[in-house]
Amino acid sequence: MAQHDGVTKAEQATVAREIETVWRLEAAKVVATLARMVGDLGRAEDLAQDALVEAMQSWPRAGIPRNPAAWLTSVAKRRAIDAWRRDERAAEKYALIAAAENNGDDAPEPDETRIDDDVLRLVFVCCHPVLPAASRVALALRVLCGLSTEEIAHAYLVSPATIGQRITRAKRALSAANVPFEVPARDEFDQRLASVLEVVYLVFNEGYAATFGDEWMRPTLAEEAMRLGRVLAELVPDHAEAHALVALMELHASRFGARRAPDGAAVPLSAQDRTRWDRLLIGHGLAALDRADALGGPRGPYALQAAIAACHARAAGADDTDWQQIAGLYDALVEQTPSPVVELNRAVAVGMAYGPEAGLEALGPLHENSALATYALLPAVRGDLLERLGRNTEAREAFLEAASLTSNERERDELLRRATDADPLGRGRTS
Amino acid sequence: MKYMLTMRAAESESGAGEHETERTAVAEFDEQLIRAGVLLVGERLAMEETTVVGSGTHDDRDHGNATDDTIEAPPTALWILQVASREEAVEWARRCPVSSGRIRVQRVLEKDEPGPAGAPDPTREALWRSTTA
Repeated sequence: MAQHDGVTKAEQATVAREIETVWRLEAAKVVATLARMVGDLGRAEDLAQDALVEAMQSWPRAGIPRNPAAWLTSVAKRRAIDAWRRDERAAEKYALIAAAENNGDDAPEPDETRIDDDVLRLVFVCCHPVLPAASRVALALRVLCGLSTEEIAHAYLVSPATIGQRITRAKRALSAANVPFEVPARDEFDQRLASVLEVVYLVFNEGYAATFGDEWMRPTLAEEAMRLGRVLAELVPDHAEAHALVALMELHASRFGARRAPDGAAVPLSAQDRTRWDRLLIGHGLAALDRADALGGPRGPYALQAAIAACHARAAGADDTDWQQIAGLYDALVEQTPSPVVELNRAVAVGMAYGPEAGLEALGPLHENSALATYALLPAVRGDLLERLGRNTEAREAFLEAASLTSNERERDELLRRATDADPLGRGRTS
Repeated sequence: MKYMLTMRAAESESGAGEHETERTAVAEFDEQLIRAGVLLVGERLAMEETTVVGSGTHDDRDHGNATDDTIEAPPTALWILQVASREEAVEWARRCPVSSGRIRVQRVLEKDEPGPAGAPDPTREALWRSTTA
């Protein structure tokens, strides 16, 4: 049997998994503390990775320390100091770090509040708008969620080299732009927070909307996003949109168990088995939305979307849905974040709330929009409304048009079926 | 993934007068779970008036203040965490401030997973909730 200092390979593998787990829980704290010290995210991350390598060597024999984050941080700090000692020009930095040490920085129990402040700074730097969205996402998953380059690559179906490059370039870009390690000033805070929330929501949607790819890793992304969102909401408790985003994610995630039929086909909201909705997450989501609303002020885009999701969550059945309230919420959302897709959703809600005629009227202007010209959902929605009005021949045409626009085979079958249902004989063509 | 952590005290002495320090430690643990964004449920459970009902007991009737040897010591606290892996749930269990006793870590089945035979059907409960909420 392969033995190494009395530790078997199997034991080593177990400890390695434990260390990975500890790392995921501690990465943000360790990197944040180091980044404040050295003033550079890239350097902090390198130091933290070195410390992790040292842990991988030491912990299997010595055991995992009681406070792993403090252990990793102090190892990394020592390495930083060693490096600076070798670098004569770093006298200034050395003086800085010495001052930090004297401020009780090396106290045995790190100050939780201080760590929280550092983590918040780290969040803002990772999600800085100088970086393209894809880089922000990769950096956040790596640094804030402690995922490895391989795990991120696996989740996004790209090569680890691609993700590695993306992260390296992002770190370089932050250095080049001289992005300070600090929480943004009040005048730009909201805008910067929006950039952070966007990253969290992108990660969530990647996991939620997955129609292909690794079945195991993608839901994990949604959970990472929810975790990150909750951490963030506690760091900026006075910001309604942070709580609203948590609410939105929890309410959407509550439907995870109901949105796929046994054969893998997507099940639309109206047909979902609501007994499969996760009541625990719904309860949390509604509470988070209440928390956002309690902070006052007009609802932002996340709060509006969460409120829409809450209307669905509260309805015992599809027929009990308060569509008038949903239509009103979409009105507000269209005003705040105008987009053809939001307007399409608004038209659907209007059609449900005030009848198909009103729905068609709301849909009308969208046909002029070139962004939707090849969007299958637009004719599909029109077909649905026309069918409800008994205009079956037109409905059939609309469903056929939608079927020709979708690249999803299952969706196409469904649309062709609806075309036939609407007008079995296709009378519009023959007469 | 959701995991349930249930804490069982080793001896029943802790039931009488729970130490203030232990209570503070559990509160701190809850705080950590909240800050880490993983806590879904965290409850402490009363030790007195535990009632056991079911066919496993002597006469299928209530056992007020059950002290039956065949019945496991009742849990004193439970948490439901949303985490990425079993290892992570176990790591949190390790961090739980338990002075005496043990913590069980169990995965909560997803809504689209079939449950073990004999387990209550969660969808039934959810249906009841959705129609009574």
